[in-house]
Amino acid sequence: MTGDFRASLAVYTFVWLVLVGGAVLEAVFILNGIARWPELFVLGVSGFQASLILLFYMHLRDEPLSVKAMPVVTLLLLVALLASAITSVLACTPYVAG
Amino acid sequence: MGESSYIGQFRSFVWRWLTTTNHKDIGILYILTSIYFFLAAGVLGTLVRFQLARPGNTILTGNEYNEVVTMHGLFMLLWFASPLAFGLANYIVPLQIGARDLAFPRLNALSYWLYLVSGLIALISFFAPGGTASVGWTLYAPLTSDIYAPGKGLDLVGLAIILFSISVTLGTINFLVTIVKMRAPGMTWARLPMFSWTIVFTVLLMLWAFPTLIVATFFLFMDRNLGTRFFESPIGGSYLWAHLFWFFGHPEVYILLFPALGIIADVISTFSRRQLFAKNIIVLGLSLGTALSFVVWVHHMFITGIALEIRKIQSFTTAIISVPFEMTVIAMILTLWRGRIWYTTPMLFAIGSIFNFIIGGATGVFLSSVPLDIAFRGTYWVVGHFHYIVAGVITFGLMAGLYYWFPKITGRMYNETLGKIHFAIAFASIHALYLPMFFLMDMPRRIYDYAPEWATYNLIATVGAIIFGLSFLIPLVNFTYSLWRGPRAPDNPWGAYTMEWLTTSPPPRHNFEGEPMITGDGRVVFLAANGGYHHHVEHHTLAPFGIGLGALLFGLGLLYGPKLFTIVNLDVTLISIAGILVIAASLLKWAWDDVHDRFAIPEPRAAEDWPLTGVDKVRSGVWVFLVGDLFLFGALIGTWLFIRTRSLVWEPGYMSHDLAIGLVNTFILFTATYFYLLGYIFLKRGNTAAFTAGMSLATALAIAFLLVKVFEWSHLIEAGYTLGSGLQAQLYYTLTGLHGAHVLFGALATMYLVAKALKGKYTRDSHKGVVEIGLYWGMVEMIWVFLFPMFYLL
Repeated sequence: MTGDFRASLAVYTFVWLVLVGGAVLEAVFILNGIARWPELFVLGVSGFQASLILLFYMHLRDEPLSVKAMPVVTLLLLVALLASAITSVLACTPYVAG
Repeated sequence: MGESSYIGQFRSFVWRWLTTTNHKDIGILYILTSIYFFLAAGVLGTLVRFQLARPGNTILTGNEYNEVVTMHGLFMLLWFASPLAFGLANYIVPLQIGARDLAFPRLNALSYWLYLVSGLIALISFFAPGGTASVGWTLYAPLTSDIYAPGKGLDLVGLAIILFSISVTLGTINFLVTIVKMRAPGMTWARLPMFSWTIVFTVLLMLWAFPTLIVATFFLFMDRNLGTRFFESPIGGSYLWAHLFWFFGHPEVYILLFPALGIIADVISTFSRRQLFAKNIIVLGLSLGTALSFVVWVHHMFITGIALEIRKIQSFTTAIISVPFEMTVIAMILTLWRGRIWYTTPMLFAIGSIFNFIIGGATGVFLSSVPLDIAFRGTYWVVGHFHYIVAGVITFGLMAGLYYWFPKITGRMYNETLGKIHFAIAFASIHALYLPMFFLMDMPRRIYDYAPEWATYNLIATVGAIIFGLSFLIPLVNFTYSLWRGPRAPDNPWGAYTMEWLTTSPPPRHNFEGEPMITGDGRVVFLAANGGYHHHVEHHTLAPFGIGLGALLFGLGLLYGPKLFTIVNLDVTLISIAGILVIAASLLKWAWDDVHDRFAIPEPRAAEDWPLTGVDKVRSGVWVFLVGDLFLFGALIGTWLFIRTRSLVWEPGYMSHDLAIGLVNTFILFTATYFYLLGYIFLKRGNTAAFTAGMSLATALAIAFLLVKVFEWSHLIEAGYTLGSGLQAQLYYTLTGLHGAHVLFGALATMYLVAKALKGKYTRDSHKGVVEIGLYWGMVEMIWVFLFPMFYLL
């Protein structure tokens, strides 16, 4: 039990550090113009942070495949929606105020 | 009997129906309410046809016509068809799978009350100054802006749709967990009756389709009341509405259709005296239909100038989505083939549905072609096509279900002759009503007057509508009379195969005498019941009704009552505040009952629960909820992306917001979750004091997050960064506001855990609710990792 406790504590602490560090990293890279494609960089870091939360804080890695599939299917559907919506926008003439 | 005993009986009658959580009672409430809305929508539909009976009619003005058409569509689609299916599912699905009730009985009651209240608010909108919504059931932007649709009618309709969507989401969680987790031993997926199968597909569709409707109507409500311009700005506008609405709107067709198909399949199998032909193929077809239904919505947007590649892809997917349904229809026809057919009323309606499906389905395939869609979409061809599906298949299918299960639900047989007369008149008149519309393929829809050359077909359609509408008086009389005077129904009057027919008609409160179990050779045996199963006697609560009542008061407060203050365009009245207080009190009562374990239900033993084996009911339900919530925030973040992509001018987040505040709040939120998790592992070690401390710290940090947010908002508003500062600011306030509401709810939920801990409810082996609320916290944090860079960096 003590071993479980220590292992869980280590994992939670490590993930917490990575999450906080990730947020600071995003800020440093964007403010200093280090990230060449800021949107993609942010998407990558946020996606990584979200995966950590899902796997270790929400314990998705311990759930059966059916539960794992739920967020995956949801994200696939979201990608379909967003891809169509954004592609349709890119095909239009952008709006310029005034 | 004395007067006082009549009053006592009346009181206990009212109390029972206001507080019930039994799935059969809720099912009956759903069925009766949906029939009421069906009649209301039917009257509106008939009014439309009266107006269109001949050119130049002045029964309705143009605006009245628009109101009637709008509300006819909304009532039929939202408040009749799905809820009637939900009503039948409520009653029948637990019986079909051998369960005692739905997984979450109180949530089920709440679903019903929110549904009823949403429908009532939609009805009340007729009395709003300026009338009800008159923009068509699709609520296309920018027609919905307060310039074109002034008055409170549309606001009430928007609120009604939001409440209805919440009701549906709760129902989704309940049905999915029930069917997956609570099937009787031996009720494998292969043995699951078709009606229950179709409910699984329906709730999956609801789970992923309704969040975008909630987002769309929420933005609409904000646009009209709080001064945002999501759908009025040329950057978001009609395009954004169309994407959000139709991502819900097309799957909604299948949400309506699937339960009807399930009923038709069960009815055809029963009255053909055969197992359903190629049941596995039908299930496979419906699962393909479920998946494909999410990638066809753009065919509703072919004329918007959407990218050619997207049009090509969704033209293709729209064409092939007909294949699974063709497979289903063929399988049903092959079930009839060489069957010993018994032409009862439900069977006639089922066969009629298949006939109508062939017409409605075939005329829909044309619309997958971009050129034909552009030609037909604004004409009566489309009206004919979707009415063949909605009235001809879905309503006929639901009628088949009502006749089929009437003996089971009421314990009485209906009059078969009257049933057959109803079918004959309805079947003949539906073609008189909708077939002429295909010949009106050059007549524009959504007009209240027309050129004389279209008069003949319109007159035929109107005569058909009157007869079709009147035909529904027959079942009203038939059912009402049979309820009192009909012959007693045997347990299984149809000789059907599914499990609901193995109990009495009507079933007892606890459904079955003994625990049903299906043996390897398919026989059902009943084991002696354990004591925990007869749990419905004490399962009454006023909390779900209270939440519904509060929501109704809130809606009424938009129209009536002394005004207290105004937020932008939203008048906050005493009645609305009273509504919020009633909701808060009811939620408190709900939590109070939980803290005292008043609704603890033992998990059924050895139930079939693959693929969620090892995941308990509540955790399964929370995962389903989180998936819906994830989609909701996905749609919100997608809206941000959509607007950002369309805007040429975009001020980086670090210029309009204080990055330090964003980082501090990020740190606070991450740490709140961290302390929550620490509390959890301490509890698993048996250290309840550390658990309580961890939860208290998490709560305190959540409150600190909210206080920082309030501080930040107030400074931004003082600096002139308000909802009037453009779409970027509107997105910021809306998304972080909704996230803040989630944090608030998380804080309240964690306080509830602290209260339980202080009452000594948690030990090393007992941590009910801790994991589930922890999952919710994970979700709240996950959303923030996207919101932080979106608003503070990019």
